[in-house]
Amino acid sequence: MSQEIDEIIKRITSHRGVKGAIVMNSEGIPIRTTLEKDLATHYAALISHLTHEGCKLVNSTSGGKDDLKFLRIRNNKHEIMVAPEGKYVLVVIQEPSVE
Amino acid sequence: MPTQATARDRRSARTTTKKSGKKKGKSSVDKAKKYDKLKPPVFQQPEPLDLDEKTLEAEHTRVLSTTNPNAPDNIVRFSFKEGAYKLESLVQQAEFHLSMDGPLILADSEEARLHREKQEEEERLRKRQAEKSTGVGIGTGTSTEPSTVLRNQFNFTERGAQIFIPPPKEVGVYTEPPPTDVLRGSVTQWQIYDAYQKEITQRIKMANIQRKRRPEKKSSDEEDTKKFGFPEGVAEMEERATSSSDAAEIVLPSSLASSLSIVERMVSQNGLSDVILDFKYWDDPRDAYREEGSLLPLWEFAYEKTKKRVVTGMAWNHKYPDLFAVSFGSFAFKAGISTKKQRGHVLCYTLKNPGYPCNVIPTDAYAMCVCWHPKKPSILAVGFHDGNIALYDISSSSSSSSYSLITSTNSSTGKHKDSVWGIKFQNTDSDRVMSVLSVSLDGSVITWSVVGGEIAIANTTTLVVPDKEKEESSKEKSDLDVVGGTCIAVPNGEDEYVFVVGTEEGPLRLCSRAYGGQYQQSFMGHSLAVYGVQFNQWCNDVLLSCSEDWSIKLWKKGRTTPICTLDCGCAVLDCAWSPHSSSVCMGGLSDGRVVMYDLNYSTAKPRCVQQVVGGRVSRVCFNPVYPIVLVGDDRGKVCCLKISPNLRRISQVVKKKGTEEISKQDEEKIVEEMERGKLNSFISHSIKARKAAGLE
Repeated sequence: MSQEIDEIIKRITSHRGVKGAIVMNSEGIPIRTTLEKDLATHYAALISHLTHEGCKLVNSTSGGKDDLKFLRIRNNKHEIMVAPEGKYVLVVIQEPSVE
Repeated sequence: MPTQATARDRRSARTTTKKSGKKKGKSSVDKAKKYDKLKPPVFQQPEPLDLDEKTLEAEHTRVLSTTNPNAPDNIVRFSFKEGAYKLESLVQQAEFHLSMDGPLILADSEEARLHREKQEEEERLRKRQAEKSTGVGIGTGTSTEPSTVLRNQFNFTERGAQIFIPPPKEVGVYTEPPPTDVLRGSVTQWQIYDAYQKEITQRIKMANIQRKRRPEKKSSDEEDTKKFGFPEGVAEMEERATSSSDAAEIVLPSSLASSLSIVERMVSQNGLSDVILDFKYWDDPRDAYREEGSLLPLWEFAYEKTKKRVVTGMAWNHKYPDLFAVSFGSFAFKAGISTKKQRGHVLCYTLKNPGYPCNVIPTDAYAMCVCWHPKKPSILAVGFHDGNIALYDISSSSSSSSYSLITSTNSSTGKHKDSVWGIKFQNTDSDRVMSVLSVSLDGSVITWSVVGGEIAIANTTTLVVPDKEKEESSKEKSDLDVVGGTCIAVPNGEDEYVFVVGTEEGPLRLCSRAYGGQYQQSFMGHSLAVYGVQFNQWCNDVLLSCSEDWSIKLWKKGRTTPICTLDCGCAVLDCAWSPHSSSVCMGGLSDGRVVMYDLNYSTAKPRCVQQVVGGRVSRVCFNPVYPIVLVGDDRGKVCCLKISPNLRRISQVVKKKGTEEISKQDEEKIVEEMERGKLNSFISHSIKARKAAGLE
């Protein structure tokens, strides 16, 4: 299964405009990444905070019955997609405007 | 006051001294007093004299004279002129009690001039100092002052002092010397070489171990793993883990796969946003009034492993209009006798992720046809080249794979003797029992009943040529009478026992399960193999069929001859009714074109002809909801195209003013009725035309 997941990550990174993917654990340590190490660590550290806050928001507003599934950050140049799943968080950075 | 006192005292002193000449005893006391007066003046209360009133009132008279009583009157000086002592007559009578120099000087005297000069000098000095201080600054003005601050030159002492200077001395500590060792060695080139060799063999050994652990990974993957590297820290951690236990790497949970698929869809949505916008919104309003229709290419679906396979079947899911299944195999007869492994594939694609199929079902034999269960959206029936059929459940309830096999036929359950070319689900009363119809080239139509995980043959119909169609010479029964079936269609309605089969020879056979293997009707008209047949969505008695004889034919139940024939100019490999308009149909041609007819518009001229693929169009399929079609070719490629508005004109309910609002259900019914009327009017018109032309 782990191998299949690796394959999917590879496939995602082969898409148009995708800069890289990071799989990190809940502490913000990148486990798999296609980015450079420094950049991945940077992203992971910042995004883990944001994800944590988002989870808190969803949990508190739903009374602990709901969970954060997806976070999509669209900026001028990039789109950062964050998918928290249990103990892991998946992050994909894409440049959607690239031709 | 003291000065007054002194003045009075002095006066009194004078009087007393005058008296002293008479009273000698008192004069010594006076002298002492006089001496005292030289001392700094101190106010002293005079002692009150003890005087009686008489004396106090007594008058004393004093007369001041110009002669000095103290002056001597008997000074004798020797006179050299006369040579005798002479009495000095001139005696100074003046006596100075107080002498004081006045501050006034004569203005034109020498002294005044000197004084003035001195003053000017001082003035100049002061000015210069003032300039200096202002020039240097206020703060330093005081520091330059000392020259002006004069020390008291009389009450000033300078005292120098010398302190004791201690003589310098050295302080040192002795420690034990650190232990030393002498190392000696020589490095040679061959030693370095040996070390490198050792390292290389070690690395190769490690690589071998890794390869054994992942036997499926090919050597070509090595580059990918390089690209898809792990951060150093993690790699180290993993190494530590491998050394301690067998766990090779951090195993990511399978639950991550669902997130990944969401992300993948998102990524492809971002990447293909223009296509998605076209799919959703691109509509030229002028197209509705244009004669020519058009197809706008949207996505292309291609999978690495099915590149050289023919698209043998396509079906849209009934519940999820963005999901469709494609089967890959081969129509070639040769494929049946070749000894090569005939691996086929069934792929389920979703429009949300056109880049990669959401389900990949590899099959041992070529997959030839697919069909979705009409009520259970996750169940898929597949027919294979080797005569078997199988039912799959693609709802990924199990984590290990994205599909599960419900059941499949084999030689023990019975199977077709040749490749299955058509498969359809039939409506059943019970939810537990599924009924599957399959048609094969061996000339049999088998009805399978599936209960739970068991599949069994419920009914078999053999497609034999009926006696009345045979020529006189060959009335005997033979195996050659059996004709292979190529396609099957079931009406979408309550008529659940009826199905129609297209045959290799040309005739279409309408059968009913209620009557066993008996033909209800035969449609004679095609001269070559029929490749596709379909019931109309609105009229269950109207059929469309296409054949290798370059034509698409329209049939009506109860009439053996076709209602109309559409000539396409080359073999038509598939046909379909449009779900968007009752009179629109589509055919896929062997030269890669797709034709679309609007029967209400013209039967001679297609509304749209478009080259879609380079090879042959093997399958075409309308989406039941969206205005898109799928076109599969013989090179494993599936194209998705958007049809222009004039090819999907559905009847509009014209609302008259003043009438009540029509409910949605009623509106649907009205539209249905109008669509049915549209097709029926065409059919009656066409029959009339044929009769007029003398064809019937």
